[in-house]
Amino acid sequence: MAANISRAIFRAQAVAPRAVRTFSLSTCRPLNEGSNYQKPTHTGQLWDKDDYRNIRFVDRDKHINPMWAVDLIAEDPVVVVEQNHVWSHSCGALGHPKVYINLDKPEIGTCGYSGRKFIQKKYYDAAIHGPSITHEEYLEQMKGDSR
Amino acid sequence: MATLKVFSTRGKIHSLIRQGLQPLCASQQIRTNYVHVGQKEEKLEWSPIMDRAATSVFWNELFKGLGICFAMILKEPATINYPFEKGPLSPRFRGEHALRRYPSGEERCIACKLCEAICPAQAITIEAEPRSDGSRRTTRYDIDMTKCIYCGFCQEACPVDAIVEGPNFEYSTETREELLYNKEKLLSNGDKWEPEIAANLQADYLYR
Repeated sequence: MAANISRAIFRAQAVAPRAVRTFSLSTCRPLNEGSNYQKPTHTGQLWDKDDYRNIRFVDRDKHINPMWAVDLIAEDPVVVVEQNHVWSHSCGALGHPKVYINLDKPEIGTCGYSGRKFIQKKYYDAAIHGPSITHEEYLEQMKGDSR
Repeated sequence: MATLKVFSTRGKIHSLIRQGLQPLCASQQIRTNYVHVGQKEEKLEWSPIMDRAATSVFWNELFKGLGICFAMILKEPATINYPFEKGPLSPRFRGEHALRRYPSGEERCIACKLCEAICPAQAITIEAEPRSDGSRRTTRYDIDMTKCIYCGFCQEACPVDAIVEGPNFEYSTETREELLYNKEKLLSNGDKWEPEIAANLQADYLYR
């Protein structure tokens, strides 16, 4: 009995100062959000400054990955091919299924899996399509690690 | 004298009967190799008594035990210094999930949703739509790690090894919400563990 009473008193003492502290925190100090909470995620998660859901990132930084695949693949050089078609296979078993890409149209053909860009040599223009590598260089890359 | 005579004839008759019966009773056994399993009685001659006295006076057992202790000091320890040393892992170990990329930086996952379909715990949620450059990728890839049963079906279903269960097994969190992984977390795992994951896949791809 005595132990129960003393525990209750102890708990009251423990809780009271904490309640006061949270109150003073919210009035005196700005909320401690991480540096990332105004940056978008890959899933496009970005809310207004006033959105109540931002409470998730108080005292806990928002987890973002700055490596955006759409930007990284845009820097990938175009593969210039002599023939009117190409196989994109990305190194066999450790890559993706083999894809046949027809290059008859005067535009870049993109592999749906790896995003590699291919174009026929007669349609290639460095000013429009950016840097390039030859098909032989591409095949050499495919020999190494999985792509 | 008469009783003696009777005894001797009885012995002879008995042996005769026994020899005559032996070929008939093939299952008759004669056991000779008995082992004594009870407590042995201590011999009370002087020499064993002196041996026992010498054993206790010179602490024979104590020194034998110390010898074993010393031998164990010289032996390689059976334990490892865990957070700094870890035991060996199979390349097929199924740990924390990761989303992989091609070396160009492009995400491998094209949102075919095979992993979502096969997941027996229904822990995976995928949404997809064409990206700004026209390629089909996920706009959402969530794994509820509290639902996941680590069966590895997702990585078996994946045709391009995009979702894999890497070798990491130390990802405990303080809150439950941190175990609801989104695409950011999975891609970051992939970026972090890519060397090990690639080596494991390389070691195992002939057997899949």
